[in-house]
Amino acid sequence: MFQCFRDYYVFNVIKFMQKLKFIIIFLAMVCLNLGLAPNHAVGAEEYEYIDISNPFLRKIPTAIPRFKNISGNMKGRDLSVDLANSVSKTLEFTGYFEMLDRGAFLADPHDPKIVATEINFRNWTVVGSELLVTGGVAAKEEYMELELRMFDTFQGKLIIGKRYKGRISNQRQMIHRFCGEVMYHLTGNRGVFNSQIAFISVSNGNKEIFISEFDGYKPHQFTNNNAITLFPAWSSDAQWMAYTSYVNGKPDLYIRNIKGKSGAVVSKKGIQITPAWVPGKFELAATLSFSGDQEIYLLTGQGKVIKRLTKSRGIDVEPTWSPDGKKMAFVSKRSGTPQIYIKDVASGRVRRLTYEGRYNTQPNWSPKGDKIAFSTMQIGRIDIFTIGVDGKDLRRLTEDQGDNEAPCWSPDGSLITFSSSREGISKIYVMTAFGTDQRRLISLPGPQTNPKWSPNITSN
Amino acid sequence: MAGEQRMVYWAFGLSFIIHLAFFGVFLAAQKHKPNRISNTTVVNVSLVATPHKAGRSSTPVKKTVTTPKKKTSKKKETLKKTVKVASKPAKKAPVVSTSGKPKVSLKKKTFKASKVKKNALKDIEKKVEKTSSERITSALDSLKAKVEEQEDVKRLEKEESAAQPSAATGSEGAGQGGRVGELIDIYRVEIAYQIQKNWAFAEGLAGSAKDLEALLVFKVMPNGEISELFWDKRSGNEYLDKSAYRAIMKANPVAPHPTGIIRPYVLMALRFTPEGVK
Repeated sequence: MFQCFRDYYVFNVIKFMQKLKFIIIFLAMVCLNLGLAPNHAVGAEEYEYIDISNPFLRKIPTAIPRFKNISGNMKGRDLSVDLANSVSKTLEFTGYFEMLDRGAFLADPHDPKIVATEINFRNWTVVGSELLVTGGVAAKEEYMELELRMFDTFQGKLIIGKRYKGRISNQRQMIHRFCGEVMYHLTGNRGVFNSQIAFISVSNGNKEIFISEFDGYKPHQFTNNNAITLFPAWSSDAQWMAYTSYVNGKPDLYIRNIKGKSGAVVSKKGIQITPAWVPGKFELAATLSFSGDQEIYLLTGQGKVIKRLTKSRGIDVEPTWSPDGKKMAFVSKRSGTPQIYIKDVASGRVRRLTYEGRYNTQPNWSPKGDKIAFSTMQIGRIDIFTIGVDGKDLRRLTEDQGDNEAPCWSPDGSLITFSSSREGISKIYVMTAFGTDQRRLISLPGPQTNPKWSPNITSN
Repeated sequence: MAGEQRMVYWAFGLSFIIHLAFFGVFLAAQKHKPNRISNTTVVNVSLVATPHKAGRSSTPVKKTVTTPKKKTSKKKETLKKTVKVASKPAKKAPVVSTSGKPKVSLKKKTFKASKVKKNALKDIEKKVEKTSSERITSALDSLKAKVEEQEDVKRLEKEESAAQPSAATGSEGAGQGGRVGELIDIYRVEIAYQIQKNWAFAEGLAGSAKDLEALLVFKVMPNGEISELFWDKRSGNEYLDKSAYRAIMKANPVAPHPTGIIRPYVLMALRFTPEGVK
């Protein structure tokens, strides 16, 4: 009896185990089919992508409402509008920002909110703003306190917040510092706000060197030679200026301290033109012709010849240095027409960079080191192009707008200044490194040519 | 020894009772399955509910409703035939008009009680036949319409599923045929354009990195709301990634699903590449 019962029991257990096995397998299959591990399922997906490669707007839509008058007085009221406009204009200059029309803002213009807890970010995202700059100003007598904030409207997050104190007359510096912070956050460098532009303008019937701030503000005469003065060149610390002048009746090279009158003159037989400072060094290259042929020489900051850099039949002029100072691009007629060449200073090897066009001159090496801007003459018109240092990626930046010459990169490599005769006589213009946003920079009587952008001036 | 044997008996006995109870519950649970299946048929009833005109009667209606989906087309044919057959007597049914009838003495008709009963029964039968045939006809007509409507919906769904095998894959597209597939493709292009219009990107801010691409995937709900947005692949450039994300969020909500797309969501996958900025 016991044996029979045990056998029956064992049989049932085996049967149940078999059933259980099927149930487990069945449940496992159900689990797999239902996709109880959605992460794995999603990870294994291959989606059919639609390409979006052409942005509708190539700038960041930014909102800058009028600032808050914290002090509540008349001075503060005026400043709250002026400063908001200045920040807007300064950021817009970079070519990276599209300032939204204040008339389209949903927030109350009479009660500007400046801190994250008060701001309704939905009001700003709805009007398409990706960045929001708010400010508050308190003014008392000659002094002011300015607090500026930049927010990411979609994240509702404070990106930058700064408070500046100083004289009201220093408001431009305050704004430049804040805009420098904005650029540093977005690009990793502080932009162009502490730089200046030297250019040639006519004064008393002579070509002289003038200097203005980066945006053309406050141009002032730098040289007063009463003689033709050409080819300004900034040293990499922006403390020295080299240029060519006919003060002594022939083109000599002058090296002058920006703040003082100290300096040196290179006055050899023949011409001394087109200086270019070596980055990070008190040395410069310039074209001298005392040997009979126009060749490029390396000089000390005191004007002493260190060595000859080029040696070929035909002129070699207009040197420009790579940011690391190891290579030098220049114009040479060694192949019959003016073309741009690159020389490796250590090895002495020279290679031709430009092959298109019969007249390629005025090279200027970008601070990022990857491109060279230059001007080229085609069918009687001069236009500006950029080319990769490997000779690829040739891009035209100007077209059908008079003669466009003498391109020079901004210290952050985002902008290019140049001279153009599109309005008749030659004036100084600026554009982005891609050739967009071309606008006039300086309003002075007479022609202006040959602009040179300084490095950022730290002492400012 | 005897004690041990007793212990074994007790253990087996207890185990047996527990197993018996388990199997009992298991079998009882299995017996419930048919009920569940019958429940599903109830759900079907609501899809092809008899119209109000048809009234409560109509046994054949119930039969049609409970037929499996596969046989629907066949049933449809039979239904059509039934309708034709049923409509004939309805047309032929005599219209009884009492107004223009000459007066006849009821004496003959009421003289014999059995004859009266017979006639009354005949009348009732006729009436019943007439009313029931009318009801059935109208019920069948409305059923026919409903079935046709359902057929259309099924056809649309079939086309959709042919074009989009799985709602989650998003691998459907042009070339897979089907009007709905085309509709979805057109809708997607429209959405992509809406998002492109909101894409603000300054190449200079992306640095010198080349061949950047940010891949984003999201669902568009029927009302145009964007949900479950995620990066399938980040570009490695924070600015590009953020600008792509912002473009989608700025476009939200996009246009709602057009009529003809009957599905819980449309899957969108976008590849943002700044190569167009030249």
